[in-house]
Amino acid sequence: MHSTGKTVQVEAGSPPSFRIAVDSGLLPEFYILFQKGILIDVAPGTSVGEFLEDGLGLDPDYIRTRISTIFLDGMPVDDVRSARLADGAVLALSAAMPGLVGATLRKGGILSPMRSAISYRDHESAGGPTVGRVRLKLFNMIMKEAGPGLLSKGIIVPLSEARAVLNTLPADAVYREDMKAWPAADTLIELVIEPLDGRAG
Amino acid sequence: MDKILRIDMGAAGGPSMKEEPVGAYAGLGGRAMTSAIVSKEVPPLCHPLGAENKLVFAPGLLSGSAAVISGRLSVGCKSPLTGTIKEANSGGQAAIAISRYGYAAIVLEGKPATNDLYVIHFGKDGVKIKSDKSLKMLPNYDLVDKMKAAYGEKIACISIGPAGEMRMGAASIAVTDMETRPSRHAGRGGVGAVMGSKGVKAIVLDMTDLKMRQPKDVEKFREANKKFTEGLKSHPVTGQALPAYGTNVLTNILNEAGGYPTKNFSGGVFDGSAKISGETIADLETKRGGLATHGCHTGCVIQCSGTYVDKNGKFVSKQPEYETVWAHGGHCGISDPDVIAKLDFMDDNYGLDTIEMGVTIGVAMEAGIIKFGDAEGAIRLVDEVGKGTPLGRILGSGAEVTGKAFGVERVPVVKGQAMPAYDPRAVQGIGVTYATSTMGADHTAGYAVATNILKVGGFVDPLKPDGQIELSRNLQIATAAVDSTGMCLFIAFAVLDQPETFQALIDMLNAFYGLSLTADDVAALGKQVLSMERDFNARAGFTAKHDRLPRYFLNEKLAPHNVIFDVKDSDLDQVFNW
Repeated sequence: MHSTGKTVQVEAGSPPSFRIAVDSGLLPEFYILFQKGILIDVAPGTSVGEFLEDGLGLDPDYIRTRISTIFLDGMPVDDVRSARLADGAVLALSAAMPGLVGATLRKGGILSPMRSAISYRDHESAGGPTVGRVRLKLFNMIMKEAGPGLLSKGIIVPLSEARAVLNTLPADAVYREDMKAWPAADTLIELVIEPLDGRAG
Repeated sequence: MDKILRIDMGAAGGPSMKEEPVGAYAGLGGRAMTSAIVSKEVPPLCHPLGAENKLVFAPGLLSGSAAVISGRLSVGCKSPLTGTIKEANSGGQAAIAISRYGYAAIVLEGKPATNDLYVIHFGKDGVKIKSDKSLKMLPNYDLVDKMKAAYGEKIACISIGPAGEMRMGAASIAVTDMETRPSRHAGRGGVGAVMGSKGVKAIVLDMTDLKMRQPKDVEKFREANKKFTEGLKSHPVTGQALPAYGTNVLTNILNEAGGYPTKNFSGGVFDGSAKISGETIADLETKRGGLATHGCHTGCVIQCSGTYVDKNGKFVSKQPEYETVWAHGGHCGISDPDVIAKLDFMDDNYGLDTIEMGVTIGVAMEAGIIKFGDAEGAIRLVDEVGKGTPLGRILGSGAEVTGKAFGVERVPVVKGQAMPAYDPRAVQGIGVTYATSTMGADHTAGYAVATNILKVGGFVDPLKPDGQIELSRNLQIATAAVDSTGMCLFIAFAVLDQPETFQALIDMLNAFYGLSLTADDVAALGKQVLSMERDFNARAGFTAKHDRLPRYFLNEKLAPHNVIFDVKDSDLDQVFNW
């Protein structure tokens, strides 16, 4: 570690891994990445429920009671067992939301007919690749609660987005000189953020 | 709250006051009171800026008591923006003050023959009215500073800015918050213009030593209030999401749903949404030394508001609400939160409805007056409104007038009022409410719900639009009822999921007044309010053909879902068939 911040450890791989430990108080600085969406590998055809439990390691009770609003490709999802992920899908997770419209968008909510035009509909998948990648977005309370765990496991993001966030950290948190040597091309990297003090933030 | 204060601003020799018992209006509060008075006493064909219109301020049934989150103020009149009956609702301290002075309503009547501007002051020596020319065209923040200097720091102030004095259709009425800032507004429908037409610049209520209203059954009330509070605090919306992020937590959600009206309702997704989301703004406020959690009135336990400061920690505005961030943000293609907060302050200061102003600027952008995304241009346009330039006068008259003046087809209004921050093509149920609400396009009219009021049980098919009409009807009924209690509508989320929390609200009403109301009685009150409002609107000339969305919502597909609003007219006409 340099006197002016910790070094980001870079390990070759596909994608390359960029790893740094930060004070848990700085973990929220990375949450903007969840708003824009991180990439996660998934087997196409996996149900949303399976992905949340097995892929993300979330507790079934947490999924049922806490993740009250789910969008798959912009469509509100009502049944996580039947909604399935395709390669390139966008999945967004949120807690229960305020407002009439917030309540309307809720998973399995009684106001759901009010948004029937955009509700997720099950459909047969036409086959395709056996390995895929989805964009996962986390919002509000879910971002705070599930975010730290995902950061410490590693998230796939464009290098430019990682760099932008690291540049906002205090000077004593990250050594920026090494970052100048990072490629200019916007490749995808695996970003691993571990809390220095072991706390989730 | 057993009396009504009537102030005739047009009396010969100057304004005169009369205090009378509530009489036939006994048992009514908030929106029930304002709509009852307006529907009974205001000729529906009158000019909204004329002597026959009345401006009614009514606290809720539980305002001024220890009931949590009960400080909402209803302001009612015939709207100069829509021509319909109007109830605009505001937070802040005024409802608490009015109720503790014992008034169920303050009614401004008549119209002064001169251009004098008046201040109405409530204090321990009674109510006094005096004219003060030095207040002319003062923006709200400067005005409130003058009122504090004159009357002390412990005041609640209801005021209009220059927009209300100029009687603009988008003019709001400001109400001071706990820090005595004029940051809360009865925004919709041009109620500020009516106050301006009555020649009243400010109503100032001294809150020193005002006594809390006491319930008939102290123990039962305390128990019900405690249960109600617990219900609100334990619910994830009212106990966590709203305090942490405010209403702007909805930006990411509506954007993800493809229902975030972008660039004058031409698309449903805004690229810059993450920069202006509730999550991002809460983080920015906290880092800069502002507040992401803050209540707008004493006794609020949800605390969905906040304070927005600049990068030097200096106050800019209260935390902008979702509707404001959308109207001045994504709707206009602007993604700079500092600009949005500045526009919010300008609206508050000039006394303008942020929804109407934001939508109007979007229409102006569509007209080519400035480009979408032109932040400096948007600031300049709001300034023109506040200063009353010829362009400002057009813009300050609202989106419909602006659209007409510049030949714009795509103007998102119903009954002359601008649509709020949810595209009706994506969430068709909100479109039903926009179309049929007695208030014009209104997102809060069909807001509150309780499972036992809805009487909707069992399986609902989220893929079928069936039941949308019934849902909108029941939501509008329940909302009208909640608006009458003085409670903030945000209790609706906890009430939706937790029937025991709704029961606690009813128990509070019963314990306070010594009644035996049931949920059916509350629903009946809601229906009564809506019936009065519908009747007024019918007598004002409104028919079923006014309960419609602008035609382009039926024809123009909204990306990314490529949907149109396709609820049949015959179904819209069923909403109020009880």
